[in-house]
Amino acid sequence: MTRQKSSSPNQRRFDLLLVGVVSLAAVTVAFLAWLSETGVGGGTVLEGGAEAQELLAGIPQSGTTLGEEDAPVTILLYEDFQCPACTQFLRETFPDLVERHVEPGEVRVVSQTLAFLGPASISTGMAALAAGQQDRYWNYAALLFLNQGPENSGYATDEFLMDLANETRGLYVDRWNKARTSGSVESELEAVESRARADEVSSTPTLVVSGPGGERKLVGAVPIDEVETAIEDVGAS
Amino acid sequence: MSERRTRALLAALSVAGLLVSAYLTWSHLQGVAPACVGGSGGCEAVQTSRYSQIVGIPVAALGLAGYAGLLVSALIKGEGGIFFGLFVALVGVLFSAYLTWLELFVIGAVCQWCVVSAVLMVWSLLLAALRVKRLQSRWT
Repeated sequence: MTRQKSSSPNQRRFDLLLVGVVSLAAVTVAFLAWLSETGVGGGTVLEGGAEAQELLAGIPQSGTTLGEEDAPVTILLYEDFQCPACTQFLRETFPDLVERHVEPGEVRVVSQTLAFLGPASISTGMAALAAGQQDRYWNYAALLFLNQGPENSGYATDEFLMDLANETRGLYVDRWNKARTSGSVESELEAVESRARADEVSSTPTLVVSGPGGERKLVGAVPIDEVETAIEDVGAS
Repeated sequence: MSERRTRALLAALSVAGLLVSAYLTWSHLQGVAPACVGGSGGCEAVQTSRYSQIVGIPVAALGLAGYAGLLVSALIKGEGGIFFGLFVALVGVLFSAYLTWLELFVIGAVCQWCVVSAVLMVWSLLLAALRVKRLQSRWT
């Protein structure tokens, strides 16, 4: 009796429809998940994304400033995204500077984006400044340095810059993409150039450390000890 | 629960899902963080992650299409509406499970609106399955 019931034409049709619907749904979701994994960006293999975002998590950012606005010591950090010594500074000195001095509120770092090494310096600089309009400058800048290619080798393509934007936590990519070619970002770059001339900066990285006790200038990928000495010197009023 | 009541409930869930998806699509396109209880950090991290769109289409807009499909299925009487509803709800639940996995283990942040959508989808699937079960008993 049961066998007769389960093999009735209606039951067979029902089973077929059910299996068809379930299979189609599974295939659809697998396709969507595949598109989600592969259909974004150009597949640039990025380095250091998680570490950079973790280091910066919870630290206030405003434009190109990292740290508390009322921190007693300010470091103007002149850098160019194509400069290998700047990457060295970011890898070797910057994490200690952030953990020991920026996070506790003693120091704020203001990035001064220079673009003197070639066309890619301009496009990367504008991309980072556009991220700064959403207060994500430092996240994007860290990714730029950690994924730096050889100077003017053509690595900083639109696709590369977009991949970094997609990897930058909290960055609205469409808004960033519109902003990165805007006049305001270009003017920011020009303003930094004038400031660099005033501070007599001729190479990167250059740190201008200032506080109640005066001002010190450090040139090159200086170790954390030198930066800390300068912070102590200018921090004392 | 009667078929009529099941369809009405499914339609109500679809409308709720449409509202959630419409809000998330709007905030994605405007580039603003969705309002969340206790701060927008989680929602913003998810909304700005690389997984928030598929080939340029916001995932929230896919949700919009999904809930619209569910609403249509609720309005259609008979086996067409029933199996279509099951298909959409199954896709919705499986895709929500994938997105939840991404949130927890890849992005490292959870968006409350996505959780609400996932819950709506699970309930929709239960109702869709109820309609299928009822159809099966009618056919056999």
